[in-house]
Amino acid sequence: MSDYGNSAWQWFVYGSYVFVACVVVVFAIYALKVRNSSLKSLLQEGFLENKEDQ
Amino acid sequence: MFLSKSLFQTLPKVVAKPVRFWDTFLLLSALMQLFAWYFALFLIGADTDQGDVYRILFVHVSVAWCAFFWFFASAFFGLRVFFQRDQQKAKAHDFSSHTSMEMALVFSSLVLMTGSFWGRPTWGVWWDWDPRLTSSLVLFLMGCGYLLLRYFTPQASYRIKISAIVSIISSINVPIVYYSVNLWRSVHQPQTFVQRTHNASGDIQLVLLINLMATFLLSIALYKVRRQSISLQETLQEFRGYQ
Repeated sequence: MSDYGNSAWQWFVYGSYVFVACVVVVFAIYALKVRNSSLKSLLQEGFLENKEDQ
Repeated sequence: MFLSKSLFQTLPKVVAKPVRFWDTFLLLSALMQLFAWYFALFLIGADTDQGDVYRILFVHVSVAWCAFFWFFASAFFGLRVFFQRDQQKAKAHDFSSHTSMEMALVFSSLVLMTGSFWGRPTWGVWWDWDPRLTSSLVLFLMGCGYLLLRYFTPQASYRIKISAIVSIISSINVPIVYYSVNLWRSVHQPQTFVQRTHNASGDIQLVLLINLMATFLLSIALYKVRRQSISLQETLQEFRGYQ
């Protein structure tokens, strides 16, 4: 790869990709965590008990 | 997949099936995104004007288009809230509109950040009060306003309607952001996919399309998982209220 005068371009390019990856991962973990804990609570509190055969 | 095995096995099929499907979809779309980023970072050549720093384009444009899409999606579900007489269905559309707005907010914040990362080495500044940048910031702030309004409006029926109105108003700003580079004098480059400007060569357009597709699929997967979590949270709260 060449920098064409943009020295330290790696920081900006890789930094932007890493930043996007981190935000997406954090959002996914948050969404999954909330969903899983809600599912667990619904099971424990008996909401899903009568829906076994559906 | 992202659920513990013991919990997954105790779930009714009607719940377990979509959970497993969207978890798998999320994993596959994340892998596809990694492949797309590999093309963008290591396979395609450098630009004659900007060198390698132009590679931010592939992530910046992809997240921008996703942000636009989710603002429109939020407005679409917001409109459906008004045309739906059945309260339960209206509530479901409201959940979809809310989830879409969260997605729009995540992606518009990424647009601003990646744009700033690109602006520093090319323009010499992290931020400029340029029409495209300013209108993008306004769009992001409208998304923030939507979530704040939801949070501070306790009455459900009023919250659903006011949220729908804000989502529709926010979507009006999307074409303003898109055409801002044509409407006003701007340091920002014109649209990438406009033929007459010939902004991108064929190989750049192909890699950009792959990245657009991968990011869009990933955003769909994230939307579905978040939609499930919002819906389940609401069901849990309602169930606790009835007990």
